[in-house]
This record gives sequence, C-alpha cells and structure tokens, in this order.
Amino acid sequence: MVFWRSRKKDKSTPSASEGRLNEAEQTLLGADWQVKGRIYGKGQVIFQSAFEGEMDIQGRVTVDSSADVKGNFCSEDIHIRGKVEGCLTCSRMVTLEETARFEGEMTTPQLQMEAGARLNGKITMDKTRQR
Amino acid sequence: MGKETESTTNRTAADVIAPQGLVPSSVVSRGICIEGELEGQQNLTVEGRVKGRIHSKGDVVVATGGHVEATIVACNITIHGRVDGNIEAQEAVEIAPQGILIGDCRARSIQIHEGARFEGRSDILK
Repeated sequence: MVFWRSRKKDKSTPSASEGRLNEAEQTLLGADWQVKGRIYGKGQVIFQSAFEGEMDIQGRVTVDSSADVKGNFCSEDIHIRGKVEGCLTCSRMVTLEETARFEGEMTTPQLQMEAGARLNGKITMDKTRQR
Repeated sequence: MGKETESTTNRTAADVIAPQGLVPSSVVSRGICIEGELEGQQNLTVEGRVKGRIHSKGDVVVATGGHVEATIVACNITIHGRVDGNIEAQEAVEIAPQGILIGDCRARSIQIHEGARFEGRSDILK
C-alpha cells in the first residue's frame, strides 16, 4: 500500500497507467512470475517469467534471458534471448540472440540468429505467412 | 544490436513501471488478455484483462479500464477498474471512486471510496 501511495504523491513519477499512455502498449511479466494458460491480444509482450501455454499476439513478443517458456506461440515478431520450447508461428521475423535456446518447430518468413544461439528442431521458411 | 535493444527495452519497462529503488512490477497492458493462473512475488498492474487466478506476495493494482475475472490473493489490492471475483489481501483493500468489485472481500483493512461499487460480503482479518 505504501508503495502505491508514495508514487501518487511524487508528481515527477508517473503512475503505472499515466506513464504508459506515452509508451507503446507493453505487457511485462517479471522474472518472479509463473504464468500458465493462454495469452492473446494486441501489443508488445515481454517475458522475463516462466510461462506455459498458448499465446497469440498481434505485435511483438520478447522472451528475455531469464525467461523459460513452453507451448504454442503465434506472433508477428518474436525476439528470443531466453529458453523457448514448443511451436512458433511468426508472420514477420524470428530473432535468436546469443543467449537464446530454442527447441521445437518454427514457421517464419525470416530468421535471424546470432553466434552462440542454440536451435534444435525443424524450421519452415514460409513466405505466405508474411503480412 | 542485441545489447542495445535489450538495454532500451529494460530502461523503458523499468522507468515507466517501477521507479528506481522500488520492486519492479509486472503489467498486463490494455489490449492483452491472460486466461489462466498467475503466481508471483512482485507487484502486478492489470490494465487489460485477466481471467482465472492471481496469487501474488506483492501488491495488485487493477487500473482504470482493467478487468479482472479472477480470484485475487495479494498483500495489498487496489481497484480502479473492475473485478468480478473474490479477493483476499494480507493487508489492505482499496476500492477507488470509479472502482467496481463484484465478489467477496477479505482483508485486514478495507477502504471504499465514494462512488465505488461493491457487491459482496466483507470480512476483516484479525
């Protein structure tokens, strides 16, 4: 309670909703969270957490280095720095940074991999999914 | 490129959601819906929709426009949007003037502002 009140009193510090009006709609699931289920909608989603389930996002998905996600994922852009296991369907581009660990199936029109990234599975380069 | 992108993303999230010195929050933004279970240690702000169950050792804020159809268990719970479900706070529940709670409420203290809507039973923890 003190946490939220202290922020309201400090006019130089925007509240969670006020400050975010000027930013792209961004969902952040922090490292200490565990989420199971289905996530869908429009915007940008950043995983630092563990996630298990299905995801369908019109926008960009980032799997940060602390994240461990499993399931079926569908998005426009998928940026991976952490661990991903499952089936990815991407309509624009998948990026695997050097800390990325991917295991499963991937369908995407474009794939970018940095040195050090690990990819085990099947990749289908499918231009027809490009939007 | 990767490091630059990471630092930009982290700076944006940290600056906007959690000022320095405070425990970083998680946010479910407008336009995003989560159906399922969320369990965590940190604070959570819901600006979008959550259906299912939220269990946090931190604080949960349902922002204006946020809609939670779930059971919430947290340290403190503040409602500016709408909650359909039972809630339990280890410390305090606050329902802001535009806030709506349809469900039972258990907490050490409950504050309901003028204009808020609450339909359910309340239980004060000792």
